[in-house]
Amino acid sequence: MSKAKTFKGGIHPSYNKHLSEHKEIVEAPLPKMVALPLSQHIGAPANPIVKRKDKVKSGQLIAEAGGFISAPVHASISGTIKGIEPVEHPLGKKVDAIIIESDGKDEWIDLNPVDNPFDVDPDTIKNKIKEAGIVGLGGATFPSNVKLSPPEDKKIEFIILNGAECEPYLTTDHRLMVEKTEEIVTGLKLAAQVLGVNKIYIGIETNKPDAIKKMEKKIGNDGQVVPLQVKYPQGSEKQLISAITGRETPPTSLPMEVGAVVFNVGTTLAIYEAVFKGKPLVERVVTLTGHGIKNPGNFRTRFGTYVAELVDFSGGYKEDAAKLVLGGPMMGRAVPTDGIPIIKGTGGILVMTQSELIVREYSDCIRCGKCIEACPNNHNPQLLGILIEQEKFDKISDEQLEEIVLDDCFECGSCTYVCPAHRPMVQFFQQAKSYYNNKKKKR
Amino acid sequence: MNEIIIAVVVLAGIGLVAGILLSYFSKVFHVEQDPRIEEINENILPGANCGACGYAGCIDFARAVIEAAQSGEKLPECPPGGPDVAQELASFLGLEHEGSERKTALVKCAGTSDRATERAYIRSVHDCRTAALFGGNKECQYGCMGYGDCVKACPYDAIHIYQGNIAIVDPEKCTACGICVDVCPNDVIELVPANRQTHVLCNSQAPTKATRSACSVGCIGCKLCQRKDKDFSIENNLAIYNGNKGKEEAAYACPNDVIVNTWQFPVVAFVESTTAREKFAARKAEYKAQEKAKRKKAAAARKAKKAAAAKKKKEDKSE
Amino acid sequence: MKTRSFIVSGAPHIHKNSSIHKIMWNVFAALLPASFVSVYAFGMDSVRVLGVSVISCIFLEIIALLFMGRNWKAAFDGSAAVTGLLLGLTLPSGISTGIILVGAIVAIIIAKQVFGGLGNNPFNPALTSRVFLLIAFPGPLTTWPLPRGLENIKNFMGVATAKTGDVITTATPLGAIKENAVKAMPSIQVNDLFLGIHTPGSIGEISALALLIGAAWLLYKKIITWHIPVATILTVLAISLLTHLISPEKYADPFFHLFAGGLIIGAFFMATDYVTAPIFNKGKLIYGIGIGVLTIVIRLWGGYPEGVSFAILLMNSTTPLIDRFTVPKPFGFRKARN
Repeated sequence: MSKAKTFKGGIHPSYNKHLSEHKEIVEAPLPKMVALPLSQHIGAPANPIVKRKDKVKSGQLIAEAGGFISAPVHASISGTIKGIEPVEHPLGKKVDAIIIESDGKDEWIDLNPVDNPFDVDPDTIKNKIKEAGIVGLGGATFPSNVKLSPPEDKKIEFIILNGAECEPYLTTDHRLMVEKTEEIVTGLKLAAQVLGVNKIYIGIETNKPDAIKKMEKKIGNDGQVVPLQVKYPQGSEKQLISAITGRETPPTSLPMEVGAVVFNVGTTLAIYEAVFKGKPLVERVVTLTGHGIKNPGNFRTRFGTYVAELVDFSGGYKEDAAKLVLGGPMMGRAVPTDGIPIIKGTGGILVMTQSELIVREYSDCIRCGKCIEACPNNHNPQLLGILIEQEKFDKISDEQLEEIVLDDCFECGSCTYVCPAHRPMVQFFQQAKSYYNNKKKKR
Repeated sequence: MNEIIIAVVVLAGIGLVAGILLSYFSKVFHVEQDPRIEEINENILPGANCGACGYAGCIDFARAVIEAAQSGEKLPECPPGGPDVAQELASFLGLEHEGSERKTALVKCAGTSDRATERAYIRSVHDCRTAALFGGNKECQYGCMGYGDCVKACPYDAIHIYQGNIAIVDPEKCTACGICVDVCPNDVIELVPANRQTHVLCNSQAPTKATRSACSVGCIGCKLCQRKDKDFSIENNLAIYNGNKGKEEAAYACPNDVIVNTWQFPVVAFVESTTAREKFAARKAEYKAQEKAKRKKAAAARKAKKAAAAKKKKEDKSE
Repeated sequence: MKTRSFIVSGAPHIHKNSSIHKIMWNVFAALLPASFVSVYAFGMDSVRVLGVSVISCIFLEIIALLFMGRNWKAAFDGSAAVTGLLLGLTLPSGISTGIILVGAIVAIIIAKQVFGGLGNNPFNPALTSRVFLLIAFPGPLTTWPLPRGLENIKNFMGVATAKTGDVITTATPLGAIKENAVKAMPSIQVNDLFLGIHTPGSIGEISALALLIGAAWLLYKKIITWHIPVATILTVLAISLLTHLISPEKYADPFFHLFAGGLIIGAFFMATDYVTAPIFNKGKLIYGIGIGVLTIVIRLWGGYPEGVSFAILLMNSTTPLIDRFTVPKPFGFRKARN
């Protein structure tokens, strides 16, 4: 094993992965009711093609993609459509969702796998992936077929499997790599073939030695497993590319700019299932964890399942559960209720206790520079935070911080994590981003 | 002694040279400025430097006014100054003034914390714009969140947060500069004509069912007001009033008491005061009773008429 | 389905658990070894100076915060205590309590709170106050009582002791060098300077060893980075070595300059003050070099025997400029393709 690679900056939070990393993936029971938001991905929301009282089968298409960057939605259980209603969405605002009441039978539509996928035209595969509604399951939920269709002037040289899983607590990808090694590697090879790439890298943080071993054995000489230092945010696309290939993706552009495409572990598994089994994307593995949960674990869950139902199945909350976070503790969103559906981008459910709540009353910046050391993008969160706090938006534009810094900040939270003054830098950036979005809209 | 004289002479010399240079350069590099700019800035404009006009301070606005007057364009508007300042500017520059309507800001929400359903407790957040990032603190996504970004932004101290976490505008102090409209993340503040006396105190464009579960004083778009007064229109499940003074009946017809007539109750009283609400309820009940009595009477009259007609018919037949 | 409500707050949901409080009290702790040495050397006078300085600074901070309608509990975040301790450590032990109080007022009110409190002061409060006192009360600020072990000497490094009131006073090593040039040199051991127990001077600057123990603690806790102290000290060493080589009779050797005076306390504890130092690593190096150059220039050719305070304050004023020109390139600007 060569020396573990990494990027510049970053932080070392306490990972707490021990809660669930050795728990095998458990099949969650069929939910009684699901709510499938029309917007589970980046881009235009899907358009529903069913109406109230329609009967649907598992895997049936119920909403079509609403544009090029968009993804369809499939019924995750069989049953009756109860309506299209606004529900709490993990991203904050309420959005319309298709509600299905289960008939308890889980009848599937006829599945059409692709025969000999390695011999067919790449477009067939891309279409299959698009029809299956596959998006990046790492959290960004970027439609995968778009990633597989780079513009012709961009030469793709590498495909990278993102097995870093740098978010504390989450163990979804880890468990998948251990339990579904074969499927993931096959899916990855297929994606590489579609892209016409022969360099395959698999980046895994060294805190998952079992996954590294298994993947190394399975991929053999077709690719290279790259052990990565345990550091957050190692799993961010651009940082991962920088660690593995040494290339830095320029601000505001996609990784294909430097000839790389990155896939999440769950996504490659979904690609495998869509192509080899014909299954649309209707379920995913979710880590249910945290100190506010009685039995943490990894569960294969249908989309649209309410968090409350999954928690009930796992064994319930502990007394002092106080905060529910969808995603990991660094970038996940706290939600006000557990009456919220699990969607494509939900990689983890973290329940935190009263005693884990952190101080968020902040004071003036003392210019200690810790945020600058921590920023993986080598930005200056300190100055930007102060400017936004004082609402000096024209100064931000003058210094061109808007284009090169704000747009490129992916809100990893490293700066906020280390700040001794407890300044909510991520909130400042979100605020500034929404300010500029509004301004653009008004123009 | 000698040293002192040298010091004095040197200092005086430097002062003299610098003075001569200064006066020379002030002549050489003199920038011609229209004296009217100073005049406008000092005597006509409010001088709050609020920036509501879009210029950096009143002096910049004055410059823009002169430029516009010279090129014959429409004069820029000073929102806080309103029509008075516009009139004065026009007469100062010897231009015709086309009247602009005086406006005032209105917070279209009466969803105090006892009326609106709470959605989330957002920890350590003290402003609306941050709260909006988390989807807001109320079930209703259109209403006033009550953290007071508008209060902080208002240069005229015209908005205050009242009990129940609702911002209410003081129309006396409001200059319609529009800053609060810009800062509100939920777009719940609107500039309305100052002489409008009837307001719809709701901004909820959500479907009826959602509005009902979110707030007890939400507009559900039932159109009952429209039946009483044609100046109401319904867009996106929300009633909008377009006239100056609405009919009382419309307010009484509203099932959720969303419409306020300011000649009966000022907005503050209508949102805040329970006694005002009680009074309103009493009047509404009275009106409903009258309506009912009227309807009864009308029904009785119709019945009587019918009976009379039938009788007449009968008589006609028998004849 | 039964649902349950949860508290909402912004990401990230975990924190490193660092705080201004912890940082400042760590700095305070790092200054304690030097304080103990001073108590050994100067006795109860040192306790009085440090105690009055720290307590009055905290007290003034509370008053200033109350006056501005802020949370007065912020006065206990340790920054006022550190300012007070640093101020005390830069004063001679015989100084009167009244002057310390004036110093505390200048440090907390004028140099810090007037600018908006912690995080907004352009100059290091303790140093601003010390320089103010040095200019306002030049006599008391340069009257150095004899430390333990030197009570009976008649002259120190060639400078005769004098009697000021009841106290016998003398010159600091740097002062002696200024006055008598290097002919004073043989009478002082670098060893003594390093341990600092047989050296007159400001309370806190006498023992380089105690200060270095504190500095090691700060470096270990990652509260300060090596950039500023190393740049400062190397610059001083380099220039003093050069001058010493050119003219050993006229200029003292580098180790004398390193351990005499306030270079160590200045470089590790004052120049590294977060608020007034540049924020980027490159800027920190430039800033450190600037302090080193100014210090040695003042020491060798200036009117004062010691120049660390002036050097740091002067470089404080350049911090915004340095920050502006040392912004690192964001990720992705350096190399797109190999």
